[in-house]
Formats: sequence, C-alpha cells, structure tokens
Amino acid sequence: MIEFLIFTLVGCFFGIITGITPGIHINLVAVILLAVSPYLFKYFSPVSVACLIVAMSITHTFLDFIPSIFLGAPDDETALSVLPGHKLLLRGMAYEAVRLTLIGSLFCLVITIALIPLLLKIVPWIYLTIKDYIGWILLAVVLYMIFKSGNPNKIFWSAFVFTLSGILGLITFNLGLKDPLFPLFSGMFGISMLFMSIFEKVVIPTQRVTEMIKIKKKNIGKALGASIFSGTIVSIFPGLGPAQAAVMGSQLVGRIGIYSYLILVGGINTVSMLIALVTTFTINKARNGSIAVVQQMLQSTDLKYLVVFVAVALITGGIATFLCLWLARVFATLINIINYQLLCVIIISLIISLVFYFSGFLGLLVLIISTLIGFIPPLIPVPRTQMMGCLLLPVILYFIL
Amino acid sequence: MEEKLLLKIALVCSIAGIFLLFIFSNEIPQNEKTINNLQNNENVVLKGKIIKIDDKDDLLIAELSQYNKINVVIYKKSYLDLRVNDNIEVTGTTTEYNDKLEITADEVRLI
Repeated sequence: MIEFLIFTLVGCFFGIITGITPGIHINLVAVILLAVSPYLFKYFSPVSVACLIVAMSITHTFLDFIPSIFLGAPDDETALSVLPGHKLLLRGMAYEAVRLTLIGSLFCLVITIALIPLLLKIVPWIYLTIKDYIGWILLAVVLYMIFKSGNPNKIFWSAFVFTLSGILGLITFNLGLKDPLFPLFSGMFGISMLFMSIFEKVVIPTQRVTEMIKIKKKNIGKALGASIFSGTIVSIFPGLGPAQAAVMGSQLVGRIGIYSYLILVGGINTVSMLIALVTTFTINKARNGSIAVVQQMLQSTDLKYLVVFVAVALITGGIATFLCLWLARVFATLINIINYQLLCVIIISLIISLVFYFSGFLGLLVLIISTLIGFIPPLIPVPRTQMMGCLLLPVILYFIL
Repeated sequence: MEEKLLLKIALVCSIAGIFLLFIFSNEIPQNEKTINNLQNNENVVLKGKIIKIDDKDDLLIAELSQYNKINVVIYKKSYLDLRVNDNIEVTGTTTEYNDKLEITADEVRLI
C-alpha cells in the first residue's frame, strides 16, 4: 500500500511536468518508463510503476488546460479549449476558465468512477454494436457541423477548411513523424492564435483570481452529461480521442455558452483516460498511449488491478484539484508581470524547437502549413472546430474504406 | 460553483481513494510478476492461460501464456485437473533450464 501511495505521488509530480509544459506528453514519459522497466522491476512491482503512470495521466488531464488557456499552447486533447480560454484570458478571467475545466475534470472523474460497474458490462456491448457504423456516424456529425449554419458562404468555407485540414492530416499521418499531432495542433490552434495576438498587439488585462462566474446547475449537468457520454463513446474506438469527443459533445448539447463549454472539454480528457482503463480490462484494448504501456507492463486483465487504479485515480484527482487551483494562481500572477508579446514569441520559439527536436524538418513543414490553415477560420469567420478535419477525415476514411 | 466545495469534494475523493487502496492493495501479491520481467531464482506469483499441456510420468509441464509464454513445471502431487484454456495462478520459483526460464510450481490454483 505504501509503495503504491509513493508511486502515486511521484506520478502526480510527473503529471505536473507534462501538464504544464507544452509539448511534453504523458505518452513520452510512459514510453521512457517502459524502456527502463526491466531495471525498475528489479526493485519495484509492475503494479507500482503502473500506478505511477495512471497517477501521471490523471494529473495531466487536470492540469493540461493551464498552458492551453494562459499561453495558447494546446496539445491534441485541449486544442478546442484554446479559443474560449483565450476569450476569458482577454477579459482577465483566465483563472476562472481553468477553474471551469477543473469542475469538468473533477466531477467527470467522480461520476465516471461511480459508473464503472455499469461500464464494465456495457462497454463490450457498445463496442460490438456500433463498431461497424462508427465511420458513418462520424460522417453524419461532420456533415451536420458543416451544414448547420445554413448560410451558403459559411457552408462553403466550413467545407473548405475541413477538407484542407483533412488532407493535411492524411499527409501528415503518412509521413512517419514521431508525434504527428503535436505540429498539427500546435500550428492550427496554438501558433496561429499567438501570431494573431502579436499582430493585433493584444494587451492582456490584469488577471483576477475571482469566483464571479455562476453557471446554472442545468447547464453544468448538460456539460457533464455530454462529457461523459461523448468521452465514453469516442474512447471505445481506435483513432478517436478527446478532440472528437469535444466536437461530438458540443453538437449534442447545442448552445450552452463558453463557460459550460469549458466544463465540457475539461471533463472529456478525464473521462477518456478512465474509459481507456475500462476498455483495457473489458475488451482488452487500451485506447490511450499511456494506458497501453500499463497494459504491457501488467499483461493481465484481472479486475482487482482496475480497482487499485480507480483508487489511485481518486487520490490523484483530489491532489490534482489542489495543484490545479494553485498553479492557475501562480500563472495568473506571473502573466500579470510578464510582457505578453514577448511571452508569445518565447512560446512560439519553444514550440518550433520542440517540433524540430521530435519531428525534424518535416515536422516544421507541417507546423508551417497547419499554422497557415489556422489563420483561415477567424478571418472568414467559421468555427475553428472545422480544423478537426485533420483528425476526423483520416479516421472516417479508415473506418469506411 | 464555489472553490471551497471543489476542494471539499477533492479531499473526500482522496480519502475515499486511500481507503479503497488500503482494502484492495492487500489483494495484490507484492511478488506477482509478468512473464516479461522474471529473473532467475526468484519467488513469483504468475497468472495466465494454459495453452499446452505435456503430461510426463510424475510431472506436468504446462505452457502458460499471457502475451509471452513460459513453461510451468507442476509435480503431480499438487496435481489439479488442469486443462488447456484454464486460467491459473502459479506460485513458485523461477529456474533456468536449457537457457530458458521456467517456473517450478509450489502451488497452482484455478482462477
């Protein structure tokens, strides 16, 4: 028990690093741990190391909105939170934006864990029932997203941005890059927005640590329900993830406003991580890189491990809540001191360096093209979610063809 | 939603998690291993599915599979009615035989 607890705490520490550092993904740390596992297993049990990875992954899902909202540097799981997060940043309410994503994360953690006994029974059934139709379901969602405005000009540009992003996604996934999503999402959702902040000489107002935002309980319920439903459905299938769940969830609940939307996207990552554990122990398929490493380490689907990981997730969720609020306060204080234009330049340089380090010149090329595509939606304007075509088009083609 | 409420829920979560871990961590033997990380001459608890049985005079060699495979030597005094596709938990010691690790079982139970 003590060993599990210690490894859980170490996992939380790793989760802080991956959560607040743009470009450092949990999968990277998990793979490093797998590489050194023969050495680690001489001294520690595989379950303890697996607890570390679960704790790191859960902490990461709580904290990864901080760089996304304060710095505009998202990863693939938080890309859709950048714009609403940035809106609140420009109102001096970035701390509140993080708090909203935290509400989503914490409540989705608790509710999803409470639902696990039910999920253990229905996940295999859902998988078998809709696995042959998932491509068509996604296609229907995409067509709805494109046509819902009803304005022919917007429909054209939505379809254009979706197709352009989709083609870039298809090409990028065939380039053999180490982490193809990093340059794709950083360009479309991160660097393009940071450049616009520089060009428009955006001045970040003083960030306030307040609790002014009040949301109707009904909207919180809607957001959490959509998070859990879409996060569960999407996480059962390969090639899909939190980003698609966010698109699906927001379409499900309709207009709920950016506050509730932040709760929705905040919860999805956590749901997705927990469902990856459930799919590992039910259909023997880990739908997440770090959980796949856990599966490889344990090589067992005994449910008692799942109970231990649920316990670790609960402990971690509690700790990560405190950490998230504290780190958001630190970021809110620091961003008041730092010159925002300079910060944008530093973040852009950091992302470029990381992309070059992980993916070389091809990665940089993808980053440049995705950044150029990222400029289109706000200029037309069409929703930035159309750029999710970079993931959705390859996934739809994978399932349909 | 007030921050205080969030922090209270977080605290309850952590305490519930510790309680759950306290109860269920005892269910996991600390020396439980996977085929991937076995060392020679160590006491192990290993689970897996029997994919092949070789019945010798006084012993049974069961090939146990998780994702990799390992032979388990089971003396017939501890003989259970083992069959291919049975899931078992083996407690025993690893030994090297013909440059390959195998487990000499002290105890075998069906799971």
